[in-house]
Amino acid sequence: MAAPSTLLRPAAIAAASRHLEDFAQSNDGVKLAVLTSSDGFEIAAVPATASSAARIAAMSSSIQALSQALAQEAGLAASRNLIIETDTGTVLLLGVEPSSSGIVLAVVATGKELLGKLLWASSSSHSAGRGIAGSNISVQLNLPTGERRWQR
Amino acid sequence: MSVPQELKIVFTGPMGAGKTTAITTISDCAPVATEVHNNDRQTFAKDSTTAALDFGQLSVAPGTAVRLYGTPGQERFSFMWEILGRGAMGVIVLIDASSPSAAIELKHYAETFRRISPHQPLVVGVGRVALAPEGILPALLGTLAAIGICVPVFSVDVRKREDALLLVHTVLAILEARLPESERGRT
Repeated sequence: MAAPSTLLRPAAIAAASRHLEDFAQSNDGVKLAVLTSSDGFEIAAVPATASSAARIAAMSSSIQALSQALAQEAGLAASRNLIIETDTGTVLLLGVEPSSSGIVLAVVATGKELLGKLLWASSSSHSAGRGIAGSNISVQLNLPTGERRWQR
Repeated sequence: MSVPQELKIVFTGPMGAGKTTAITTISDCAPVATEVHNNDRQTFAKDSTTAALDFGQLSVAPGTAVRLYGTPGQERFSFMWEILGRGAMGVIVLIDASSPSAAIELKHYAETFRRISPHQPLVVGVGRVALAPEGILPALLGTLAAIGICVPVFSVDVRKREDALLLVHTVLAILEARLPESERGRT
């Protein structure tokens, strides 16, 4: 399901889409990347035509919300990232700063070596804030981008 | 207790019907909530919404606890309905009578959960009746009758403990009534 029009300005969504495209292009293993609002709306996705993006967006926010509850129950700080490892690939759910936005980047990737790289990319995430500035939830989206990662 | 010692009851219904409130009202312990910021004010103007589930526990007799699960209301979270509905001993559908689409919502949730939990008791709690057009309860009963579902329907305010408990106790009573007479009434 597409996000309500009030969630982010079109320009912000376009900027987020471009960053997702850069991210996916610089990493062959990324099958799908979906930026998700706290309440499960798809904000942007690559490939943009992915039929499962809306469902993965909703599931990502559910799992993020559940891990949040678990972290709280365990007396920990706010849940940041989640890793789902399978025999054929990995799903990362990365909390986007600031965590109060509740925005999650879901990355579906194949291949075993990808996990460390993806996590590294998330920790050295690149601010896409300027493109998103002015959105009415005043979020600065920090999306992982490929460039810095591959230069090292 | 003559029915199983550990019971699972699921609260469902559309966004804003009071699922989280009902569980919070009657849970013995602080419920587990998965509230997130609500961006969809058009569907329901409230600050937060459930993204995964609510969980609470209610002791109904010594040694017998009811596990209370609440689903998210929105269709996009319907995969959670299937997960939470699995193994449920009873389903409580909450409906907001003041919603213009109350009848459509009731039909949708009643049919969906009849499919997910086909043999379990279903009980309907209708909230905000005072804000709804007159005759809403008979109308909703008619909606259910039209789809061949004949279940108890109550006007409730789930902020009130006795109202929320009424729904749970009705599910338990239906479960108990299904038992052989000799096994009833041991709670």
